[in-house]
Amino acid sequence: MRPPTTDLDVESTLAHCELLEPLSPDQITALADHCRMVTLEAGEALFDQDTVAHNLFVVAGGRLAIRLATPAGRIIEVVEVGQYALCGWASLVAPHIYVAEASALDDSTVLAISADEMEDILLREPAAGYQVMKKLAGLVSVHLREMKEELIEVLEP
Amino acid sequence: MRPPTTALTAEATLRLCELLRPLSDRQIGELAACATLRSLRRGDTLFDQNDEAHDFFVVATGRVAVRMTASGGESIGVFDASQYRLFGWSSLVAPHEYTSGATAVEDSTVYVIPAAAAEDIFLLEPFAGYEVMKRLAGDISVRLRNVRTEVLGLLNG
Repeated sequence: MRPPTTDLDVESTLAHCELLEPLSPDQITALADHCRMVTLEAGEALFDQDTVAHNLFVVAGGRLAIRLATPAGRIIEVVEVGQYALCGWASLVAPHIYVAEASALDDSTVLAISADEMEDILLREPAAGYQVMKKLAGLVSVHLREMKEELIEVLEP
Repeated sequence: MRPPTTALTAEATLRLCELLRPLSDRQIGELAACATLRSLRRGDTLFDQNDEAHDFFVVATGRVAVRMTASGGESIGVFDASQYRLFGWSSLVAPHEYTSGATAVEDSTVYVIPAAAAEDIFLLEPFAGYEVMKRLAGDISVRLRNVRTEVLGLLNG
């Protein structure tokens, strides 16, 4: 496998992640020091739905698909995650269980960050950490709205 | 209308709200100072789905139903907010639009708190503010999980 080109270094990749935008340069540097690079072949799973969530991920290169599966195993594609986007946010909040599964659509490279280390770094400057958590709550709320709309569609004749 | 008895002061009511538990006494005092008490008769609507969200609410007495309604009129049960429960959290996060409507299930009283003032108070002690926002993101994530389970169950059936 030839990993996709990651056109930026780790620090710049994190600085391009919208959700991490409130963080200071020192916090971004600290996060970069705690990241590890993971390469995935197209089709490879990054995490499974309903498993314990320890890490979050920022896409450095390539593309991921976040999918939900029915109890019978029917897959419903939810969202595509491209460069600089974050996934695995469920690791940051209770109950720390991934809501969906993630796998690579293309050969991809992601930065993996331990949620515990992430939280330590967020709390070094808690006002910035607050803003990140607020953005995260907003992001989850958008997913909730979309899921409710999906529920309405299913219910409507 | 004779509003139901509010057994506790605004400060004591907010202190009993689980989501606000990380706040200091000073922050709770400031929140209480900007809260106003509103009485609702059974069936009164507090806000509608998709309204712009400026305030959140803590139930002092009674019970408020928070529901999403499909265009066909079907109501999706989200939850009933009982005493000391916070709802209307959409006012705290982008896109600041209520995802559901709220209607009193019985004669009720609620404390109305402007989100902009609350955020200033959260940030007086940003570590505590971070913890509140983290709890909120966790709560929304649990609701997302519940709605997801409902959708997947219906698609499976």
